[in-house]
Amino acid sequence: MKPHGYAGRILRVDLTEERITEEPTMRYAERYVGGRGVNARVLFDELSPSTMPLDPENMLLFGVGPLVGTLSPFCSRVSIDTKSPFTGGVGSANCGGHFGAEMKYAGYDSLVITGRAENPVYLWLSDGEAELVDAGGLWGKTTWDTERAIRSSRNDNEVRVIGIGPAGENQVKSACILSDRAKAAGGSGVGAVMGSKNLKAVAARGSLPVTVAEPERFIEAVDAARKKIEQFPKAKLYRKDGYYGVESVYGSPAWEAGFRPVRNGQDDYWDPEKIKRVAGDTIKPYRKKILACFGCPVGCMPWMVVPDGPYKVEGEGWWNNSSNSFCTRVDCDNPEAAIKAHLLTNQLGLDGDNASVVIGWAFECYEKGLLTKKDTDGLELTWGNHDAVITLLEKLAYREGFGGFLADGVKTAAERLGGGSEEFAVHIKGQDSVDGIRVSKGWGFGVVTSPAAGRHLRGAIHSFSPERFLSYDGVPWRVYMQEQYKAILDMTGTCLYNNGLLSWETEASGHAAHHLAELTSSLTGMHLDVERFMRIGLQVHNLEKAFNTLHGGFTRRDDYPPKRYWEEPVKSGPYAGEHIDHEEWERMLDEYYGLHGWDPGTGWQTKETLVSLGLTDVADGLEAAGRLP
Amino acid sequence: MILLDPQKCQGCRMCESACSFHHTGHRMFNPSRSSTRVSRDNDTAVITLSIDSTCDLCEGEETPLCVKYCAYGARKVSR
Ligand code: SF4
Ligand code: SF4
Ligand code: SF4
Repeated sequence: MKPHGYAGRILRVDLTEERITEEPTMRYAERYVGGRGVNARVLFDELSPSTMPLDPENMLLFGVGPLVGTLSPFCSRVSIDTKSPFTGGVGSANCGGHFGAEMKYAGYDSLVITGRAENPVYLWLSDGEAELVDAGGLWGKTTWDTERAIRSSRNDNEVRVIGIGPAGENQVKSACILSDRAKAAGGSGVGAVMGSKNLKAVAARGSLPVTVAEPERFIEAVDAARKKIEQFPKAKLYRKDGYYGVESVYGSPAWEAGFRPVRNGQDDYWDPEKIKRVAGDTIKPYRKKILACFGCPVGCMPWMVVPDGPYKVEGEGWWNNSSNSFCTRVDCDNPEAAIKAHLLTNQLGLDGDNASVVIGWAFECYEKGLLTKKDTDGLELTWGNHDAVITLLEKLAYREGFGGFLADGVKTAAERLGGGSEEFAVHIKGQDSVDGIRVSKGWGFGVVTSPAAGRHLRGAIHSFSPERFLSYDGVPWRVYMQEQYKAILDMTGTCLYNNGLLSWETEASGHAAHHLAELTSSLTGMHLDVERFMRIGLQVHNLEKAFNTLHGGFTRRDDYPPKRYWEEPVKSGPYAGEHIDHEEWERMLDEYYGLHGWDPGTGWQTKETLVSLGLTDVADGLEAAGRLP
Repeated sequence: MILLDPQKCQGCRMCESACSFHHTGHRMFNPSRSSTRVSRDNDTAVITLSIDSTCDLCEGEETPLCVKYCAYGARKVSR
């Protein structure tokens, strides 16, 4: 019988052999719930450390959790996991949109993809049937044209598509995978892995049900969560103006709290006159509508229109980080050019966060005379030159000329160039890192220690109150808790973005984990109280950590900030002089490893801890590889 | 009758989930069992909403579920 809350099947696709098989979801979901949890286990069990990220043998997993496709709030997310081309450790990204729910209605909870298709293909999923379809005619197309073409060939406007653009095809490391043309699973090079498999897209259409174990209890849990969300004062504002429209208005503390590094991180403070030109209030007139993912009661994604001029464009997308990637990082304050840049990355299938890191680095190399017009195909990479940013995005996606030099990420580019450019190549464990981490300590510590390297979607926590975000106190514990909570979100398929609404941190929703436990238990019939759920979260986090130790070879040494942020303080603004205190960082690492029961010397997991988490086989794997302290 | 306002609709499809919950006797979510449809043109962001003849105005429910779960004020009961 089909299990409640699930489609019931995991699809396995070997692209080399063109072989498609199935297995029951519950083989993994009993223990790891779904989404990222199941992906992490399969990846750890089945991928050999000798496999390189762009080898056909690498695995690419798409997973939706039990809550996806129900009435549970924010139930839109798809987790995508693989071995990261940036780091060689775990690669993990996720996105919202409408694909996840459709994949489930089409009959699948997870897709486990291996091999490399001889010629480009896309995977078609429909009511329990899966088929590889020739995508020769789609190769080279943007994500927008790909969706259009698949919908039109199927003669069905409700088909949901997730896939790559030219950047992924060309295995550019900052390539992402986009759902519904706009929702990016970015970071970890997931788009490059998909491209290396000659897999252009996955398209789904389904009419299969998701059944509910205890309907009345489930609907009560939905009502309670919705009520909680409405009690949060910002819910109405988010709905009206989108997340960006609220948190990024002129005067919002987010502008000063160091989240948006300026000029490749030379500073974390930007001229207020420039902020005014791209802040939420200024962007508002370009916004025609705000759209919601499947099952989202708030909605955050604006539909942008630049009606005319050189940056004429229309489409879904503009996000908090866009004002980092296409504004502060390259010191550009032209809102229309920035909107154009964002929508261009969506079309090309580039992750704006990642792409902008290597672009910002190139601008700084140009400033320092390490690169000249001769190297950059004649482009003047002077701060504020937004046209150069737009041109570079195109070149990057197609690996054309100087774009090819940048396409393997900032660490590789700096190694190629040398001349001291490594000093300001901002990466963590090899992953290009967009985040500002000097001011908000909880954000910084979470970003740096994340197993999905250099990413803010694990333990990173932030608050908008300075007493809180400047302090080191309690940071390890809060990050440790947030890691577990984030794993719950990713296992169930729940969105973090409006994280004031359902996160561990905020007063308004301190019981968010209770809501998710109640929703998942009543939906599936499994008994997942908060304690058990958080423990599974810890297991998943430990699986990823172990994957990193085995595949990436990381140790304590890799849990330090990028050199620039370790050594240079913030230069100006209200937090001028703010820096990462070395002793405090060591103390936080000790405390954090202590909380996890990991060895402080190596940063590795211990046998005792893994055994106590029920991960004895993982301990055995590490021991066999000589990676236990 | 249910009044629809596609201008206010943000395309979340919670109405479809809610409607299918009603039609399946509170047993499942399945948009193909929904009386109401949400469709979005991804070139223009224009959303189309419709309700077909299978709508029974949520007979047996306290209140029409699609209206209750729409968070955006895009659906109303006309009296
Ligand atoms: S908050 Fe934004 S990203 Fe998250 S589910 Fe809602 S619309 Fe999607
Ligand atoms: S009133 Fe009830 S039956 Fe009619 S469309 Fe709404 S949810 Fe469906
Ligand atoms: S629930 Fe409301 S906002 Fe969501 S799709 Fe239906 S009508 Fe639109």
